[in-house]
Amino acid sequence: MVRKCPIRLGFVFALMDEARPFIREWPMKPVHPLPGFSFFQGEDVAAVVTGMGSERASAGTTALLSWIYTENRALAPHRFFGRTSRLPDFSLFNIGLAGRIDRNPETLGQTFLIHRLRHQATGETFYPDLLYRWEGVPEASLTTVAKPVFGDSAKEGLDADLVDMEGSGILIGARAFLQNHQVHFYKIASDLLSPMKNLRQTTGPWLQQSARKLVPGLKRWLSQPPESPPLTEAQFVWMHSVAEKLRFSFTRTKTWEQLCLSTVLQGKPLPLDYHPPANLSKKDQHEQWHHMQKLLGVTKP
Amino acid sequence: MASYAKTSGRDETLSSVIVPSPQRSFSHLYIEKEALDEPDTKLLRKRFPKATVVEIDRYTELFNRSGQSFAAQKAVPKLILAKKREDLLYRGSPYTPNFGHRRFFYNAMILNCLYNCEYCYLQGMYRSGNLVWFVNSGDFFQAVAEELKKGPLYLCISYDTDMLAFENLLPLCARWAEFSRKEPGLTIELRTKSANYRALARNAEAHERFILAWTLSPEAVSRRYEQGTPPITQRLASAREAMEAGWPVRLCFDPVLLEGEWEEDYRQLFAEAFAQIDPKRLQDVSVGFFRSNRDFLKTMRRQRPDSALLNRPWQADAAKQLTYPTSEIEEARATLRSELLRYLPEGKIHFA
Ligand code: SF4
Repeated sequence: MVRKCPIRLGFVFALMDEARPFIREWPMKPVHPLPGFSFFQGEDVAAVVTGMGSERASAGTTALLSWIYTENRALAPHRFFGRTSRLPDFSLFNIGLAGRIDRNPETLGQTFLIHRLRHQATGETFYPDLLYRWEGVPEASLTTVAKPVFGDSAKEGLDADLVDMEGSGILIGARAFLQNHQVHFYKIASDLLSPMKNLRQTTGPWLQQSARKLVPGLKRWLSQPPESPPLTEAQFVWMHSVAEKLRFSFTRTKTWEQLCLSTVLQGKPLPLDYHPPANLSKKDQHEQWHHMQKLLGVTKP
Repeated sequence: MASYAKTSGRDETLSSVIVPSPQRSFSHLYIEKEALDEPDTKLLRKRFPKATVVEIDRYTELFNRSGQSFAAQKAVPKLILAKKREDLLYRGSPYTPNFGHRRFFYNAMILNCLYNCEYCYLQGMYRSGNLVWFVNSGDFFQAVAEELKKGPLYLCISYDTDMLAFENLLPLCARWAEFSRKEPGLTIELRTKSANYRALARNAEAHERFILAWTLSPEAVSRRYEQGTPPITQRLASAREAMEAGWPVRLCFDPVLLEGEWEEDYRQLFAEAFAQIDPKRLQDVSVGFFRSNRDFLKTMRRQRPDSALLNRPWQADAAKQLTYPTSEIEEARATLRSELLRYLPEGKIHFA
């Protein structure tokens, strides 16, 4: 599939059974950008199925985000300039099954928005920034464990409403790319800490229901245009070509970028028609640096 | 300090709470487990009965974590209720005017602000756009009482926030006003952009050592850069009401931004202000130009990559603060001083 627009939404699923209703509802098709995991993509969404457990979830999330980062950057590099997030205009959703710790059967099949996530092994706690709330989706806390837990005795020390095996791994995998407000967790209460027979038959309709509830809302969110970047693509490309031709150091490149940004934000044009000569001597490069500042109307940065 | 934990006894409904859009309420209250039983926690929970409560161990695990977006959180801020265990009182920065008070202190009972000014240094100082409210107010009063034993002090209580904007939720400013009335060595400055004076007046009476300081900017600057703040006319009306009730009032023109027709804008602003406020009864005015330390500005720029104001090439002054070039500041200072001298004596004009 030749991509026309950046990917703005990503899903991480542990199991294919969890992914299927969402992939169908969207829809998405299988793709093979990297080995090791199953990937899917739609027009501006992508998904990975990682397999169970925190380590696989972490590795799968990183793989998904690396792929999206490369794709989005190639498509619209100017959208990355000056942004705090390494992968701007993007949100990641983990949707999956979780055990209900209070063993309340009335909650089975219910989708929960997670507002606190604890990694049992390290005790580390994460609070997602809740920017979206859904009608009819209550909130819950989640603890991620290393091994499946069964029975009342397993409840000890979990200190949460739900338990899963992937949540904190996804967070770890996303950390290098995303800010907190870009990562969201939705969990469907699937069991009461007892081994389940016929998992697919029982949870299939619940997942289907959850997909029907969440996908239209996410599509609505996607239909809103992303934040406009401070520089247009042409301005960004010119700014970079000048820095490359004049072989600016890292620090000078940062100063140069700040000057260009400031010029544009003051409503002044960048001299896009001016292209400094390449392969200059050190002395001429220095002179060109002063010349570029003058062109931007700055004498002393 | 139990007497200061008293509330007005009124049960203000949320609709009377003056909080700016977009957030008239908080969807979530994150509450430290140790703060759950504090009287102020209970009162604040009543103010937001529909909010989801999430219990936390320490506010720092939420507020100080890395990877937060100040801007995203500011759009839908959450309220964190916590206990402050140390640093209940700070010494004032040398870059802040102390109005001739040798022992200048400030405290931070609330971190962050309901307003969203584009130039605000808080976005460079904090990792989070959420609000922290320290509910152990008695400990803050105690810390000041201890410091007062060493000598008189000048205290700014609305330093890293705009405390008066919260007064309908809990009468914190009124508690400080009453506290300072009983402590002869204590002078308090409450700096604000809010028009919420009446909320203070409901619970406290004027006295000479509680200064209400209103920050004013030309209307065009306020509209462009001070998102969520009340219009200048409302701030002035509040200041006038306070002055008529006998509170010492200060006007702060800070930060002055040398933009567009700034000379004419300030001429008009001074004329408007002194048409409302009797200069003879005014405590004084304070004027400061935009300035920021380098690290804060770097973070602020990252938070607002599209801000023309923050991204302009500021210059470092002698104190290494990034600001306008010294020559421009000197010229502007002379212009503003001569304009202010039309209304006020020299002794009432302080430049930061
Ligand atoms: S009112 Fe003051 S504290 Fe609040 S956002 Fe504006 S500058 Fe910052």
